[in-house]
Amino acid sequence: MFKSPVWRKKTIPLLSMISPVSAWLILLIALPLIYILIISFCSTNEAHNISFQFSLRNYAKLADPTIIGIYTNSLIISVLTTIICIVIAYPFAYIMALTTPFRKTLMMIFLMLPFWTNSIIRLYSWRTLLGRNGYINDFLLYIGLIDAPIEMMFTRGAVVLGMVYTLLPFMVLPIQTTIEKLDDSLIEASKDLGANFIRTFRYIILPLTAPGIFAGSIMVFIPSLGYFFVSDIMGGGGNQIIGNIISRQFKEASNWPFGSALSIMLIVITLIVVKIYTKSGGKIDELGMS
Amino acid sequence: MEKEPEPGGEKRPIVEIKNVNKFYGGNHVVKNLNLTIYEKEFLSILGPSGCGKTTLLRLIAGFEHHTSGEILIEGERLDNKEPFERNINTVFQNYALFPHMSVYDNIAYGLKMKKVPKTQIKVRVKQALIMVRLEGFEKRYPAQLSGGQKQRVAIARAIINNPKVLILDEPLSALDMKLRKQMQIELKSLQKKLGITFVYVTHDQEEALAMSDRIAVMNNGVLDQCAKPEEIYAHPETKFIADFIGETNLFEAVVETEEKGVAYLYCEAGDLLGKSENFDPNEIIYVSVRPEKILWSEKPVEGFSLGGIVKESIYLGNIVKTIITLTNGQVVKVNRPVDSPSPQVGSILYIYWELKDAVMIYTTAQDVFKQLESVDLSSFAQNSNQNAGKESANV
Repeated sequence: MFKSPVWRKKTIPLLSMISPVSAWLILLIALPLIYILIISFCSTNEAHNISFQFSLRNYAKLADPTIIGIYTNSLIISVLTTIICIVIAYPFAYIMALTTPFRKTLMMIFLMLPFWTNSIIRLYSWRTLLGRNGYINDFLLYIGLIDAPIEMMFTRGAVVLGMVYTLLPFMVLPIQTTIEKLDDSLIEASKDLGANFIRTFRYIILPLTAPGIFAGSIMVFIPSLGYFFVSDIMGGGGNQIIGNIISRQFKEASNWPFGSALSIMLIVITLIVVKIYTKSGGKIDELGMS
Repeated sequence: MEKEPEPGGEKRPIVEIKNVNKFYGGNHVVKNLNLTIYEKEFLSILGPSGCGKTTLLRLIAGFEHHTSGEILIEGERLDNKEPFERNINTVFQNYALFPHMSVYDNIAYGLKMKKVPKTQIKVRVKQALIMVRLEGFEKRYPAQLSGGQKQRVAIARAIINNPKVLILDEPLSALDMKLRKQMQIELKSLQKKLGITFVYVTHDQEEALAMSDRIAVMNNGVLDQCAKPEEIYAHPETKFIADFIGETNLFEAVVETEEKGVAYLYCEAGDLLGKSENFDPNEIIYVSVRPEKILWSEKPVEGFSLGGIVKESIYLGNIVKTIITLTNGQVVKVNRPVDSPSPQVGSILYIYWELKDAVMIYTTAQDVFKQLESVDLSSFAQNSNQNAGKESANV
């Protein structure tokens, strides 16, 4: 069998091509996921080690009011982040798609340049701006607009700000791609048929670029459920998201089984969101940045 | 529906283009253009790609603004009006149908923007669909239509607004030959039925000749000639038009003398005679003769004839095209009906034509020589070195 020409000429080269990828996917993604799924049904003993006994206790704990509160808070933050990202990214992407190639490159650089710095460092820099003794409070006190510093850090608003700041490019790029693909003559046809810019936007541009908004929303919404470092830095203790409780279970609490159950729940939420996206005509491919 | 006005009857100008210039950066795309488009006429703007015809159309529609001059529509200046403020509709080259809307919504779009009541929109969309023979296609989407069907939807979407002028930008260029011929006839009859002015942009001279009441020929941003198709074909005003509209043979010639209504011309391939048109002596002109107007004889004929050798004979179905090379190497095309005698390949013969069949085309070529004569070479000699001075003195 190993000596048959088909095996030698086709199967072996094919296997050697796909094996590294398959091995990577199986070892680093599939197996850990399966492991997490398994231990989410286990429990811990006194020494915080995993005892392999089937139980649904971890999933029962998900119904705890504290956990539900954090999930709700997390979803509110994600929805707000997504909406704010759309509002900021759309005009930016629109200008970027229609401007000269030079300006487009410039805008792209401005969008991407912050990413060359570690995002945690960039988030800490917000503290110097927003903190009690930060520049903004100092300035407002100086011009006499306020009498005492305003608490801006460690609020839900600060977490949303951090999320928007971190995730904005993921909204801009898909929207910009769809606007760029939009045929100019459709806009001209709309104007020719008596629609001013606002109506052209409402009836032609917006519906035809909606897939980009949708793809961008997915790419902002899902990470914003899990980016715990953002809420750690910007939100302090009071504004936790799903990512925070998961990381705490794996680190401080050493309760891997419960952390796994929380992770599985997050995966389920993600899958539901993606399912809604594909059901309404979105394509998985478009979630990749093009 | 109203009928087309009698030719020669009182015609009302609908679009007046006066001294219009358009620059794109340093590019002068439309050059000092004057054109009047009349009510209910079918005007074609014809020219090779890149001649500025699409730009002219975009100026009329309002997608671009001209750099100088003025455009009047029904006597009203439209310089700063946006496309949606003009009573002009466009059929785009790529149709530009809205992909996310059904045929019905596409056609209803213009009326919806004008806030026409829904019941009325329904009736008018139905009428428009009947007009373009697409009944029953209301619910389809553009992606489900063939090229010809998309074309019809685009036309219906434009005419439903009762525009004063309908602009069509090479609307048939994406269709295959047979469908194109059929759509030409349909468009022409639609225009007559609706009584709307059609401004039809094309690079296909056959299409323009077949459909138009008048043809405006553009070349390199300049309007060369605007006249009836027969007029353009029989009396082209420039060398470019003679060459571009139909097939022709062009002979570059110098006017030697004129006597009793006959001009004696010198051309590289031999001496010619032509109709006298009060030329200047030494004026350089082109003599344009259509391939079907060229006659031949085996011996030199009285008056004038040009000797040549028959190179090739090409069968084209309805005609036979004979290629003759003259003594100076110039190639002359002669068309004959298939059933009439045509010369043997390889034989030597003499071509000639009736004076009335040749069109004299003025050029500005002699102006160059006039300008050269007026150049003061002595000042040139002083400013340059001695060698150059000697050379120019020899000239």
